[in-house]
Amino acid sequence: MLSVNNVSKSYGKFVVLKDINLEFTNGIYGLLAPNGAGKTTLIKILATLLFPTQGEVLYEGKDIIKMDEDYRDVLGYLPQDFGYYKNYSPKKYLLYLAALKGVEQKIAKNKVPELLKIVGLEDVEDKKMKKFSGGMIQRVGIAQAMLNDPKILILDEPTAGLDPKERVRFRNLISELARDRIVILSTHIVSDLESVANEIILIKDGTIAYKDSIESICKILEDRVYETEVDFKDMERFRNQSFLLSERQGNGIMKVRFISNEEAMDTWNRVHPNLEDVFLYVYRDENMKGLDVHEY
Amino acid sequence: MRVVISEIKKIFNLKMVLLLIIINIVMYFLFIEFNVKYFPNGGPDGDIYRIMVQMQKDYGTQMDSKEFENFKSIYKEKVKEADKYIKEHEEFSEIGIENYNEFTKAEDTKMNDKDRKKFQKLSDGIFFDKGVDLFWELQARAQIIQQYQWSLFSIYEFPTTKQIARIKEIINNKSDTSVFNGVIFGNYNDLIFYVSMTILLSIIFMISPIFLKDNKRNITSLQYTTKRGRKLFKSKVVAGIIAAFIISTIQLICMFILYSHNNVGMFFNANINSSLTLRLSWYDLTFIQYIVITVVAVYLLVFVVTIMTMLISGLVHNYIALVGIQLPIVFLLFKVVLSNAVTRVVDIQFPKYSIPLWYVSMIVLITTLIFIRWRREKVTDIR
Amino acid sequence: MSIKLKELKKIITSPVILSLLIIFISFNFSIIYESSHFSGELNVLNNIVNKFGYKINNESMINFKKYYDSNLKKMNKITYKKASKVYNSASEFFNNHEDISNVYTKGDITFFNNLRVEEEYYYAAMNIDSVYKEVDPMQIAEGEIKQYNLRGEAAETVRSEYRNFNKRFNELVKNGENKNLFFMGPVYRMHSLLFHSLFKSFIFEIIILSVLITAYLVNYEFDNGTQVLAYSTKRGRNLIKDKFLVSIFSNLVVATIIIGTGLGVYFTTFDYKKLLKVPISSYFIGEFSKPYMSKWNMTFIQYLILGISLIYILTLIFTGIAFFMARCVKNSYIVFFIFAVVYASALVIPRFIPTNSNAVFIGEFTPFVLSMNSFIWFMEAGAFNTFKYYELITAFVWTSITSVASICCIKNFKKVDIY
Repeated sequence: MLSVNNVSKSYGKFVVLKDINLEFTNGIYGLLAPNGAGKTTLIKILATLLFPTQGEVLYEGKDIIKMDEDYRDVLGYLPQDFGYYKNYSPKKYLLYLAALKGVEQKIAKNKVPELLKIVGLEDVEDKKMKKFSGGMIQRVGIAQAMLNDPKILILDEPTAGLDPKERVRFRNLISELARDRIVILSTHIVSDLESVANEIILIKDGTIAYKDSIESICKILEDRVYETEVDFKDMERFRNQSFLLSERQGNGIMKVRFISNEEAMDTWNRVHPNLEDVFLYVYRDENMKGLDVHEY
Repeated sequence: MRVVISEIKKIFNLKMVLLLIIINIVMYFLFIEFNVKYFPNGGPDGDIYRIMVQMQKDYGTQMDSKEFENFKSIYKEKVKEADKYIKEHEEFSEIGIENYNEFTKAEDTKMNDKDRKKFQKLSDGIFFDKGVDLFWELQARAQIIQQYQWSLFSIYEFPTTKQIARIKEIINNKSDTSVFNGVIFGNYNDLIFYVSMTILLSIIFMISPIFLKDNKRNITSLQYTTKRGRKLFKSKVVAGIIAAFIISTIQLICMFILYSHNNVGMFFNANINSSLTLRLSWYDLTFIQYIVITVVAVYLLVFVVTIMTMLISGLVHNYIALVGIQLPIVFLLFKVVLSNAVTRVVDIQFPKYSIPLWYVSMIVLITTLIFIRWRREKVTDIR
Repeated sequence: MSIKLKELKKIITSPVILSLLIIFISFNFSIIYESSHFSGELNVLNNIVNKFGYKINNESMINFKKYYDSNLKKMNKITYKKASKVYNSASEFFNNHEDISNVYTKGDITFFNNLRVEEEYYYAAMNIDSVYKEVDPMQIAEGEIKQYNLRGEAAETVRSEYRNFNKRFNELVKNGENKNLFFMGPVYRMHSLLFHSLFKSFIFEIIILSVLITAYLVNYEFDNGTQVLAYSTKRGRNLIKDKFLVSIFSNLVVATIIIGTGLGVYFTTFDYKKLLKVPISSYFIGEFSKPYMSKWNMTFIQYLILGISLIYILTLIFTGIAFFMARCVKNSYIVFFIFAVVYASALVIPRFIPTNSNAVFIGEFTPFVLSMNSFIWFMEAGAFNTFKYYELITAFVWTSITSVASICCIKNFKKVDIY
């Protein structure tokens, strides 16, 4: 179990994270927040790249900083923008990292082609990475995170640059892995989490806003999400009256999805709130009109 | 250590190695070739060299007073040969030169313009056009005789008490009668100077990118979250030092292979404090011992410069800064440090312990700095 | 225009460039300072020139002698009074190694020393004609041929080169360009100080900064990962033109700062005011057995301006070379070393050309070699550089080569893939 106890991080007077308390066990955790909310800072603290100004992170009861290499031995990390050597092939790159991860040479020699196959790069294992597309580089990143068979897998924006087919593949891989691992996914791509995450953590203003299963989180907006059709000329007024979640054009009319506290009108269809709805709601601008919903 | 080896491989990537070889070739032709291809260089050095070789055969490692008398008598014999040569050639008597002695004094004797011109032409002919060896040899022998006899105390204009004491010691030991010469000594010193310049330049070139390269590409986020983690910093430092030693050893081996063609092996056991070198040392060292000391000095310098380069590599943020900051440092290194730290390690020009002390303090300083850096690296945020 | 200003800002705000500039300027000051101790003694000549002009002719020499004789009398008055001794010359006085500090005042000694200096100038001036009688360009040619072991057509080229120069030499002597006073060359070495030590320092500093600045600007986007943004804008690939022009501009500014500050301090330290119009072929400028002989009749100030102009042209040429290299080799680190290797190779390779063909001269017509011999620009300078138009041809040809190469680079940049 990985526990975050009263962790705060500030740079001088600027406070990024305030009193974070979390517990992780095996399963998939989704870290959801817009940029600048402190998501990446929290991730980096878990990855030992940053040190908390206050508080501690414990793994199996021991401070991860004091554990030093014993902690990193069970850690797999994929950063948001990682560097690589352009003239290296993915095989050479992974072998290099395997050495740093303490994976025995014999084992690494077998594991690397295996991992490359899992992420679908077996055909290009000896090609130089400077020729790779962004998605291919990303897949190399996913592969390296698994080199040491980590017990804690932390992935920061892992599906950036992956096409839908690759995303599905990724989701399946993660689900498989999460059975006996802690997997922490940090992303804004809600659809990545919807089908696989056990728990969602929403960070707002440096603190935890919500930490619960997807179902429970969606209950915040229960019975308040609707869909309807609106004429173009009525759109302006409509926008001022309700909190729009999405608008789509079709058949000469606007199809809208929105949140409202008011009595439902006949033309409105009540729908189940999804994670994206909650995301848009929780992180709305403060001066939004037409909204007066009680916090969960 | 697998990690150290893979870091060393990263340092020796193909493009850099090729460029390194080209740099070395250019440095060879610019500075080094002269000291190995053209040694000994014409007259009088060539003659001095040949005479020294003969002296070593005849007298061994030292020329005592009896042997010196023998040397002087050889000189007298050669003067007689020169006299004969002069008598056989009329041009000399035409301008009033009847023997070798008058020939050597002719520069300062008063002559009319016509005669002066004739003398100049004659002299040039002897020394340059026709190149009469005998006259070159006589000059060389005369120089050796003069140097053997003159006072060591006159080397320094205002000698310190310690220097005077050492000079007295050298004279008492008879080290100054050693069969060794400034031509040979100077040749080695020039060679080791330019070779160490090349070595340091090579190391700075190969090692500089070591930290900047990974920092710039944000590979550090991946590297520092692996099991090895921030210890990678230590591995890189070790890799850098090993790489530097590999490079310098290869270059020194090449240098000594080239140097072996200079054929000065017979002087290896001679004491370097000979009065024929005009350079004195605090210690009674043989030539080969001196060579060993200079090689040790080079390795120490290599260590200091390697660590210094790595420190700078970790501090800067782009390649222009890397080059820009190192330029004045390299300039100072070559202009001030190198000339004194390698070839004047034991020279009495400096107080006995000043240069060794400098080495010690530099090593201590640089090791402290890298240690502080390591401590910092352990706790820095990687943003 | 604002784009160019923003590119320029990258240079102005770079702490490395600014620091190096300051270090270089300080270094130049130190070169001048190290030699500044005789700036006082130089004024003896200024005094002579003030009184009699710098032209050496019968009239000025007669007046000079009168002045010298009266000073000698003055000296002997003092020495007789204080030590009952008389001397034939001031140098005789100093040759006697006497302990003069208790007998004479500081003022006396300064006066005697100045007299000694005046003496040297006088006798040297009287000797000029006989010195130049001994100078024979064709003999110099033969000496050069021998020294460099030139044979065949190469030797012939040298001979014809010096035959041409011989005409100029005769003209020089006829014009009396050599018969002008100037700071005593062999003693003060002012020509070497200015045109060798200082100019060489300027040139190397400018080259180093030019290569750094050009490589920095040209590869800036690639180094910072902004290339995909910058080159897909409206200005797009034309940005490389801006970078090229701003490089040239910055390097010229850097050259001006370095030369300006250096020469500013130099001419403040040493008073050349009265000597600016002295012909550069003056006997006194020479420092070694062979006097400096210019290829054209020009004054010191003209020579200086010509030299400065050549430095500017070299700046442009090296900027072009650096630009070309920076585009070919995208890594700014390697560019610097490749430039250094090319520079050094250009100095070394000419050695390998056989000395019997005319090809041996081609290796000299490079900006690399040209930048090494600033103190004998536009002068008789040995077998390889005495061709009348050597400097001009090198400058012109290489400016053309680098212009064409740069333009090709810019055109090529419009077509390459950018990752």
